[in-house]
Amino acid sequence: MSGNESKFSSELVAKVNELWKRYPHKKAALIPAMHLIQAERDGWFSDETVADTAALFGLPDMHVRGVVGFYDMFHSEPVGRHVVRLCKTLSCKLRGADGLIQHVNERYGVKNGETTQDGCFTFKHFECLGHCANAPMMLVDDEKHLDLTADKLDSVLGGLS
Amino acid sequence: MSDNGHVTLTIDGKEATVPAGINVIEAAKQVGIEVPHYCYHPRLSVVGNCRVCLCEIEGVGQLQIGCNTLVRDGMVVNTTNERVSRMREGVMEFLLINHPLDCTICDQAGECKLQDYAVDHGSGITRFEFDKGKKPKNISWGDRVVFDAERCILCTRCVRFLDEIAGTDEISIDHRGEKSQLVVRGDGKLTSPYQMNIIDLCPVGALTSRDFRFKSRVWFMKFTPTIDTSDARGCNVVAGTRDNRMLRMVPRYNPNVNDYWMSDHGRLHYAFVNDEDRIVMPTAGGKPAPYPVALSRAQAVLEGARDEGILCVASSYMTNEELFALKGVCDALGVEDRYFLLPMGEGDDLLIHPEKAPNARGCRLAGFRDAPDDWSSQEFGALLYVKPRELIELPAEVIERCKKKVVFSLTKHASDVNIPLTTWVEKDGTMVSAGDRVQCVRQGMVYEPTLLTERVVLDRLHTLLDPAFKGASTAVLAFQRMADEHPALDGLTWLSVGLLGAKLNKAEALA
Ligand code: SF4
Ligand code: FES
Repeated sequence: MSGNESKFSSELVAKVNELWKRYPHKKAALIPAMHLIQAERDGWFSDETVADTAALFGLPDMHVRGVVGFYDMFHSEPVGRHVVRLCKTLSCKLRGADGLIQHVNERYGVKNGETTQDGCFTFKHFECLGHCANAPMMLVDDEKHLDLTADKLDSVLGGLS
Repeated sequence: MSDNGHVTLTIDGKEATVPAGINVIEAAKQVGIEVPHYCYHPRLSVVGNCRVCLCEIEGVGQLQIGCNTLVRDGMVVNTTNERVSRMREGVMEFLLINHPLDCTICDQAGECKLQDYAVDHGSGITRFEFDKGKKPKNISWGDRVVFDAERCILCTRCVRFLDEIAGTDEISIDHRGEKSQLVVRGDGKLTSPYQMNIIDLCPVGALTSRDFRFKSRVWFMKFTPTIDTSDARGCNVVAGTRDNRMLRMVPRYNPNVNDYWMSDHGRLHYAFVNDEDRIVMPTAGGKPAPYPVALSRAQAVLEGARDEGILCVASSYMTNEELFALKGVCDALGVEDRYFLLPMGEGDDLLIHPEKAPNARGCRLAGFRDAPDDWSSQEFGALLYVKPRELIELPAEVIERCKKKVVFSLTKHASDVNIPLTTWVEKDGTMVSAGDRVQCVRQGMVYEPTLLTERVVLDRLHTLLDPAFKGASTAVLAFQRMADEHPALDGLTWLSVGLLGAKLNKAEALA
């Protein structure tokens, strides 16, 4: 599949071409490439984006669809301008994640998987994000916020636009 | 490696010499040992996700999955010992944890691998005392396949079939872990003309046939090996009947013809068998007449038309034995115009054949010519017509140009003598499929006890025309008589044709 016919930006295609060089098969670069694609396509995979990705990789579209469905980092529904992932696995739970979840539910009016009315962020409960030493923690887009309290959480979320 | 590409290994104490490169499941099969398996299928890629095929390979610490373990020389495999049984029981326990156990309302009951293996390898009791996971049931995947997510064990056979064999790649798995569920592309309806094969492939009751669902428990049915007559491919099938009505067809493995598959069109091509409008008694002059009366009327009609000429039109749905019986009648009457009708349609590269009838080759073998596109305006004293079941008919003006008519048909047809046809599941016989393979059809039911098959009727008519003629008493003997006479069939016997068919000797003339 030549990059010229692709529906993606030439920058993205160039980056994917670089990724392909790192793996024995093109297919192996699918997940890193899908992160780039998701960012370029408003943070989620529509049927069209799935089809374009499949075309870029020369894979059946249902294969890409399966990858989107399997990994929580990929979204099959539209998301807000930011994605807030709050860890709810053991360490964070023991250190008060449940209270933070309730705080978000009440203060921002969003439950797991929902997007705020102004489209600012989508809130997601997440499995362990690997910072148990600083529990509870959350990930806002690509940035981690550790040792959370309700105040700290509010100052981060309040700063989002 | 032992000699030329074979390896020798020991399976459950039995020594087996098998081709190199096959897996443990296939090797065990060759020495008569069944290793249970769900996700593995000989024609699909190996994914190894159901884990029920675990075997012990001596010298290897962990148990290995038989589907993904290739045989090696000197390998020692145990498929049934204590350790394997315990592990398999564990696998079955996991597979059944969220299973709804709704066998009583499940169409798969009786031919379900989950039931079979639960009995053979399960513990018989459950230790799981929590709520089972809930998933959607009775999801329509279009007008042919119904999906039940709770029963699905996520073996991905259906996913792989549509991807690797049918090439439409329409199913994928959404989510993961206990939430995993199959999804179909787009509006959730399957499009493949081969989609119903996933119903046979599904080892459990997750995929059922909209056509067959709830019609009958399989243990009340009778299964007859025969062939699909929707086109010239002649896919090998098992016809399921109950109370003398046809309920379903599923493909039967034949590596030379259809492998494990068949098209949906072929599978669903049987409604006319059960049609309530079928005629079950001949008519003469429009009035019901027993066979002897109808046949002497036919004799009179045909003999009376000899001078003006008779047009004989056969059907490419007839068996070879019937076609040769019709040929005998034509010979006795000196009929020159002998044709057959063949419906044509679309074909593809997999199994669907453009000739939409099973036995055009048999017609040619018996000396019938392909019907012309433009019939001449010749008039005939009589028409002897075996009406094809559907898709094609003799043009009305050709019929009108014949003064008298003797017509064989499934449903009523205006004529001087009308004789009922029987369908291919009601008789034994042979047909010549694409690739010039002689294949058997076998009787699985009787639509109505009064019906005689066309071969018997035509032989009786022949005897009326020529008292010296004596028909064969069974289709098997009729085949033998044909094989003795016709060089293309020379050397074939009913038994050598058998379940898988055999090649014609001289094929060139028939294509
Ligand atoms: S529907 Fe049947 S064939 Fe498909 S994955 Fe589920 S169990 Fe396997
Ligand atoms: S058959 Fe081997 S893992 Fe499923």
